Amino acid sequence: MGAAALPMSVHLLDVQGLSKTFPLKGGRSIRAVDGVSFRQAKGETIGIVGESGCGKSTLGRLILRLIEPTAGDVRFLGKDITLLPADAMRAMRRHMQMIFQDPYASLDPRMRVGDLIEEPLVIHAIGTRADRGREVARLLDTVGLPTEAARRYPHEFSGGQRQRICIARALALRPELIVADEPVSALDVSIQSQVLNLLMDLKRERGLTYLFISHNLAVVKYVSDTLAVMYLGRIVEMGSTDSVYADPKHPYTQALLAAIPEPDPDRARDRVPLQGELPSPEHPPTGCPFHPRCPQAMDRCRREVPLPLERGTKERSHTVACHLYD
Amino acid sequence: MALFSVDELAVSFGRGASRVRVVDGVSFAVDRGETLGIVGESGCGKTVTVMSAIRLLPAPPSHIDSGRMSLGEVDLRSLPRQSLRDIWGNRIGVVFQDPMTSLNPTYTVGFQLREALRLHRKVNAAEAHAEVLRMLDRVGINAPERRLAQYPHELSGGLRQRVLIAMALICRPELLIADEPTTALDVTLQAQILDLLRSLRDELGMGIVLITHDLGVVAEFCDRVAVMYAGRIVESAAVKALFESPRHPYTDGLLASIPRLATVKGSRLPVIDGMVPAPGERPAGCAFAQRCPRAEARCREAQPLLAGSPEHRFACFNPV
Repeated sequence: MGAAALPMSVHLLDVQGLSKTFPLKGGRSIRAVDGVSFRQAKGETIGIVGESGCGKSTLGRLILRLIEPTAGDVRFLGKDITLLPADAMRAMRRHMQMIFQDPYASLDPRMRVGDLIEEPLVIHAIGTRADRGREVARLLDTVGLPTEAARRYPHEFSGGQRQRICIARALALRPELIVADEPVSALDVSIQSQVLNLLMDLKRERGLTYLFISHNLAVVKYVSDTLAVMYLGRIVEMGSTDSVYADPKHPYTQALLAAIPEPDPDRARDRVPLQGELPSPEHPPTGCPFHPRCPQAMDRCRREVPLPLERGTKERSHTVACHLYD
Repeated sequence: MALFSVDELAVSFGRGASRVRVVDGVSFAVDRGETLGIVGESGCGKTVTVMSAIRLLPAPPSHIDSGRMSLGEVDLRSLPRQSLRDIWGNRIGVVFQDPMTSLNPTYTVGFQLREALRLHRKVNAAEAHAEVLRMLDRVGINAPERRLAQYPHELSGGLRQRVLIAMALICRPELLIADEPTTALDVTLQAQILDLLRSLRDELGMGIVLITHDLGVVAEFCDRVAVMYAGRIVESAAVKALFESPRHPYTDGLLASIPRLATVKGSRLPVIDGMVPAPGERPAGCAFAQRCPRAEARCREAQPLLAGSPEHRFACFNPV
């Protein structure tokens, strides 16, 4: 569709200054996402990592405009989707789909699997009934499920199979962009690798662009070309995955990488255990949001918010928002 | 003599024709100061095994079909209910996965901790108060005095898990059962809690049974590990031996399929095809045979028993 004619220089996704503030009772509010900016090229997989409450899921929902931003814009295929009226937005959603963490909660238990996968095609009035039936069979095959699965109900499937059904449903409209929010976190280890392989195969075959949200750094590293690390609503470090893992610059990224338990008893453990917990986003610290937990915090960190600075090479961008690199 | 030993435990659920064997022929032992990891995927029976072994699982619906379980000189299998109450929370501490549902939302943290202590120790109010403060401080809670008056919902997830650990340890148990104690926590908090458990283990000299699905946590935290699949232990060894040279194809496949930081981006992850058979549908021979790349005809006919050396045991006819 429109995407095929996209000139090379235009990014598939261009997010600028995106913020979301949720009101609380009593006039209080929390800023879940705070001035996030990045660009994503077609076919690029961006991994968003961070701990619970860092705003990564809110960011994913803002990008699909499942919730309305407080400030900033999201350009998709060159159009600012935050300004689109409802019907134009619905048409735009064909090109952007989401896969959620919990495959149990994402499928209506009263609908047959075939109808669940066909539903997006019906809503967008695509094809005849027979066309859609054939497409459902093709989609089931694509995600590695037998054709007869169409006649069964979600409860008859295991967690991994249900996630395959969700993936088939997300693929039905042949989207450009898929926002995958913790797509394998609810699955057992032996099933995780099956689903990750499927997602990677689909990317190769269909040229999909993924925004992959996860708390699991090893999983994100495996799938992503570019990595963004979030802390309290902000991107604190972003760059090519290889360069962020080889040379993590932000003290938070360093602590996060050191804290991952790796299945290797001989791995050298020179970790600096991070003290404390994520502060409440209702009362974010002044200055750098990470300063109360940062082993290298300076006076300036308590006063000034660090802005993202380019510290990469010409070929590989690597930005970090930390006063240590000013 | 081992601190805690379980011998040939078999547990089933349901009654009559719908009775299903969930755990079968499980044996393990833990010494003082030692950490045993019991690892496996959802439904493998790891929690049922350990909670049945300390008789904490309600019966019915569960039923211990056979087995011997002992804590030191005490035979846990034959112990009457009342005597079990003297052991739980006293000689055996338990930490569960979800700190929110394990604490009573209607009582203050201080009340719940004091109650846990006074249930088993004859101490007056002042002594209980002092001991609770000491324990909260020991688990790394700042300003413990202030926390005593708070309710669980006022605490962050990390603090709640620390309170739960303090409660499990307040009577200085000989054995700590920790069921996915860090699964609900973020990775930086997980590292803090595991460090804490390790130092408390060394200080109190207790044995720990850690139930987890996370092989990374096992590698970091445990001395020995037992891998469970479909209700049985399929391999057990010292952590180093198991990770360096897994012998059971399931362990081998599981270790290979985890994306690690060193995994090459975009390379295909090795997978274990298919899925775990449900308890009522376990095949006659080895339960892993239908997913196993090394399966032979006899694997589908007979159940392989744990064999190998006492230090490294595996239940497989055709080991890696």
